[in-house]
Amino acid sequence: MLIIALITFTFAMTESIDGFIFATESERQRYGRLIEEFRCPQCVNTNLAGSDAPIASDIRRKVFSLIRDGKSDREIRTYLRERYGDFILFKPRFTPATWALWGSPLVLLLLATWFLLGIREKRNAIVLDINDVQRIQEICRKV
Amino acid sequence: MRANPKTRLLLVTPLIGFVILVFFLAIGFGLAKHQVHPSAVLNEPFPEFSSMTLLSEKPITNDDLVGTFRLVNVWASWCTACVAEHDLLLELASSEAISIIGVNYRDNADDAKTWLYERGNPYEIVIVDSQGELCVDLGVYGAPETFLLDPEGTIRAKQVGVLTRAVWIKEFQPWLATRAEQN
Repeated sequence: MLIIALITFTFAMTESIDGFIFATESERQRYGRLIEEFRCPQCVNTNLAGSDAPIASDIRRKVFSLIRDGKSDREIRTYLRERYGDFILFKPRFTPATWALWGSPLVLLLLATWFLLGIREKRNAIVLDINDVQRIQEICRKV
Repeated sequence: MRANPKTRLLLVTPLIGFVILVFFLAIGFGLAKHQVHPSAVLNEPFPEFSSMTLLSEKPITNDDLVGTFRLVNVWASWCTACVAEHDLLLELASSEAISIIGVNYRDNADDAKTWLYERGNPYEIVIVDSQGELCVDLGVYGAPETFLLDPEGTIRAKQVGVLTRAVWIKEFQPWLATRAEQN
């Protein structure tokens, strides 16, 4: 009985974040996920969720009201990017300016594969010791 | 004895990697210098809002801002850098160069009024934005920030930080001149 009461209490507690009351559990989860996703514009590498800066709390309130207005995650991301630039996104978009960033792991993978194949080839190669060389030279002289 | 081509290629790989790294760092730092705060609010309509004015305490919306060129200046009594641009704003207001609208950002109304009383009021209207709602819509990083609105209510120029005379002349004034030529 006590356990049930405690669990209910915990759930009741999670319904609001930052004093915002969410209509549904999925809205609350979306809010929690979105504020983790954006950088606080005034801070160095702190997300909106983890910042005490006034601007971060203003933007959190905006994210809440956008969710309440029925905006999609994509629309909310676009809204914030248009105002605060790519800086606010921890995960950069795929643009001509960032293709090298996104492509570099693939390039590194290809390079590493090529390198490893090279090593294997070398290992499989027949290694001649000094006796072999002398024998070859002898054969060559005879011919 | 010469190293075979493959070994040589492997030897220069770190060098190639380094050159590529330097290349991208140079681009990255070069870009960072030019666009500290890229903003897409430029050439967009001023965001819709509905608030109160600070001094006369009347309702005000974005529709009240159209009709003429205006500077929209985000400031607060707690904003120390705002003092630096205050003389320029006063001069622009007294010479009737442009209408200036203040956005009082996250401020206490009494502090804001005292600040204006002590230093002079360059603002035709001051919009109260105590919760920073309008400023989030404007993509404001912090006070001071200044926007230029054309008569249609479109944002034409933006200054993050103190508005200097040089910026006013170079980035803001030309807009007023082009419109004067058309008329």
